[in-house]
Amino acid sequence: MRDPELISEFVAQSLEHLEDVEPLLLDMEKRGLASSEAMNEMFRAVHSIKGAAGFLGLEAIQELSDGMESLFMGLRDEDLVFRKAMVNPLLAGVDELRILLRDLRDDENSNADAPHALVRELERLRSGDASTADLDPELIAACQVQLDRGHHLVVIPVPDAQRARRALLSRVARFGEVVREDAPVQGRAVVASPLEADLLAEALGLEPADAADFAPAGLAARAEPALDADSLSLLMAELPRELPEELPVEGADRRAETVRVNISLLDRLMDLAGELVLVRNQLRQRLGQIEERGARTLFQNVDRVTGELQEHIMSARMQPMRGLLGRLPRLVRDLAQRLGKQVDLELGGGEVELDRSILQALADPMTHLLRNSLDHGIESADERRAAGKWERGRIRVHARHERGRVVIEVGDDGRGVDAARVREAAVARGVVSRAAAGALSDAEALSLVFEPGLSTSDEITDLSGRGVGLDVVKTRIAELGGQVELETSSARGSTFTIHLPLTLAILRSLVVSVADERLALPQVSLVEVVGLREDERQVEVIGGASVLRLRGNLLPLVNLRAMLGLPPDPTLETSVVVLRSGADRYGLVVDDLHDGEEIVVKPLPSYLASCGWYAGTTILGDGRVAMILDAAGLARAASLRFGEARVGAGAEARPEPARETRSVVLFRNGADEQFALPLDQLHRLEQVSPDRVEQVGDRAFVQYAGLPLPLVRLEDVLPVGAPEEPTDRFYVLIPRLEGRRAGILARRIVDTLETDAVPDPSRLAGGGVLGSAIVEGRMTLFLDAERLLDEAGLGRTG
Amino acid sequence: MKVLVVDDSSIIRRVIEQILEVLGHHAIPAADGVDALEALRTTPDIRLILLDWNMPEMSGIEFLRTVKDDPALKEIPVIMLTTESERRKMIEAIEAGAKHYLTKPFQPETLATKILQCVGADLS
Repeated sequence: MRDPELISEFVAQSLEHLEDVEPLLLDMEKRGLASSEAMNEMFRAVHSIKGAAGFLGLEAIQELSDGMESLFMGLRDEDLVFRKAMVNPLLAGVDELRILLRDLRDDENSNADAPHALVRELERLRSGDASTADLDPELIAACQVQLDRGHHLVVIPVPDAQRARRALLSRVARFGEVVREDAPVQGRAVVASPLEADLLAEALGLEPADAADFAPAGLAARAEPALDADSLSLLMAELPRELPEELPVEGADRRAETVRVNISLLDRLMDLAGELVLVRNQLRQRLGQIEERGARTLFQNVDRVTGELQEHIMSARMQPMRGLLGRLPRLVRDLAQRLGKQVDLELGGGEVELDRSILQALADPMTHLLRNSLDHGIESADERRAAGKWERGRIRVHARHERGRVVIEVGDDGRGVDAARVREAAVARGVVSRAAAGALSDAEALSLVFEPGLSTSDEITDLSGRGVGLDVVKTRIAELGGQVELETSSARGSTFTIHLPLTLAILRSLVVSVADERLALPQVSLVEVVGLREDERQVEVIGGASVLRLRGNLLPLVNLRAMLGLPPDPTLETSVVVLRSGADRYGLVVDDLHDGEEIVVKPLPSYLASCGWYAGTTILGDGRVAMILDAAGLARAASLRFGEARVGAGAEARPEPARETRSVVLFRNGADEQFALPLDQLHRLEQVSPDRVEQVGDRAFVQYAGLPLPLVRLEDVLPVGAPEEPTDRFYVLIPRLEGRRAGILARRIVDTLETDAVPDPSRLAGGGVLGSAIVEGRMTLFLDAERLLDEAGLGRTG
Repeated sequence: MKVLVVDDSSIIRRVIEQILEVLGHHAIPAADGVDALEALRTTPDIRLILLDWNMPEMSGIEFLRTVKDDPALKEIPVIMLTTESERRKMIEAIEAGAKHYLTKPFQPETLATKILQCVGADLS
């Protein structure tokens, strides 16, 4: 019997080692050169796997890693010349090791056999049927001299034009010397410098990828320091193994100490924090009804600690995208090789962090999208030339934060998706009828690529060139509480944009109600909230369906009452919440809006799963159970037709917003002025009744999240009019400002919209106003939240 | 041979001194650039300078430039000591005439090898 704990640690460590090896192998293949440092690193990684495997009696792993190790060793130390043909067997070795390790993780007594054919292949490569260094001996000798001086040998590209060449080589002289021009091949030069390749590239103004280590096998610095071996070993015994980088600060150990924590423990902690949040929410609601000072103070402590606890546990579960992105180069390389296409992969946003469960679940859909881009998006080199594109295709994967969500784009510069062909394919597959297909707008037809019917057959590859398995991608992303959209054009290629919440367990949501039912809408699908008033916005009935006219667009409406089978109540003043479902928007008519609340998602009972428009359940602050709505599912259940609404609006597809637009919330306070606050400066928008506003001295406060929130009255700070009549409700705009808590009072929220209006700073600028501009036909003051709070004398709080 | 060791950390100075001693060299410690210039003036036959990049009073690069501008001192090879985060600064240092650089933390063997590569076996 093997010790399960030891095995699981071995597996985890070994998999980490392999993570390091793969990118080095790929880099080596790309440059066609092997730096001895990279060799050494790969050697060490495989070596430590082999060592531990031997110790644990894992023969298959030991045998395979031994094969790889001796090849690395040969390349590092001896006359073995690196050839690209070595990369595939070595990568295969990495894969096989991973398989063996995972088998072991699932069953610690697994006794899989080593892949003998691969081991033999590695041995054949090792025995060196190509171990002749066919380099010019004079060059080798010159290189040896430089190495002995401790210089690095670097290959750089040299231009053909004489002047440029002279200029570059004279620059080289400032950092080292040229060993030989036009070596090892024409158009390159071997140079020697105390600087390593990357620094030399920077010094010479070259791209980092242009400068490669020149490390022909068999060439190494002959570091035979002429010192007394005995005294050196004596010294080594006495000295710390490594010199400290800097002095420790005040005796404290500056290295971050880490421990490995079992994932299931982390999950459990997360669950518990979730429960605590629920209890906190309930407590807050209960305390709202009780007036007892002591309890309130205690609650504030509970509130703060709960918040911090939740935040820290969440951050412990966050992992950077880097790990996931790091796997893509290999995938793209293998696929491109198989398809005979040339592709460059551009990655970005590796530092963006996501909950680890989301990251894990994201691997498959991302793979799918990349496969799709390579297979169907990127054309063959001939086709690309004919289309006037670079022969090499480009695939770009970028992650970024956007308004509390993570956005991942997977784009290619391929042929794009042809809406007409998608229509044909959809008809051929029986997804839509021919008549219905004809009525679809292009954007709508494109969204069909995410439909299940279009994905099952490989024939679709020939038909539409796109659409294999994308329904799976959509489903997976939706399960994560996210959404995926497709943007495409034949000239620029296709981009899939994935929107994801940062974490699965706790969801920001807006609570709405119809009759006595409360429902939670995840913030990720929320676009805006629209008050229905007779004067400005119009609900129309087109083709038997209700639509909302909003800024020149018609949005289909879903009535939540009707969906729940409740009778309409004409006496109610309803609100519309605009939701996003993929690339589409629609309005949901609800009776009432409640607070935004952080809810803890509980899985849906199985008997409700088939309903299709709930994403889960939760317990609200008042202790009631609420269903969480799934925006996309709801649109499906209501059989919304987005195309018709657009036809009615007289626009085939939504116009792309101009580049310089920004989202603002428009609001009013006094009778005359309209104000705008950029949405990215807005943290929360709360509705409060006047009796919750307390006056202390000349400062107004409102209880918010258990703490008094100081309020700014615009008329106190700016030369603007005060509200004339008393009101039965206020709005409080809470700006997103580091270390500052305050709210801006408003009487009426007009709209949230994208505007390209540029505030003109000449009028009323300064003192909390950026400037003014005409928005929606009215003069609007653009606020600068930070300056405004300064002006109102609300400084930074601790 | 005499080696000038310029580093503001007394621990690093001491450790380097010990290594140099084992290698058969004599270390002359200096805590900053001003001290180091003083040492160069008063001690003849300094054959090598180990110079920290990041120091108070006079920064490593300033000291390096002063040495390289002085006809009497400029032939003395300089090995810069740097940290990973300041590795890129070594472009400037090499251009200013430093012979080599070492990234802290380093192994004693690495220092031994660098010294050897720098001054040649005949001097060691």
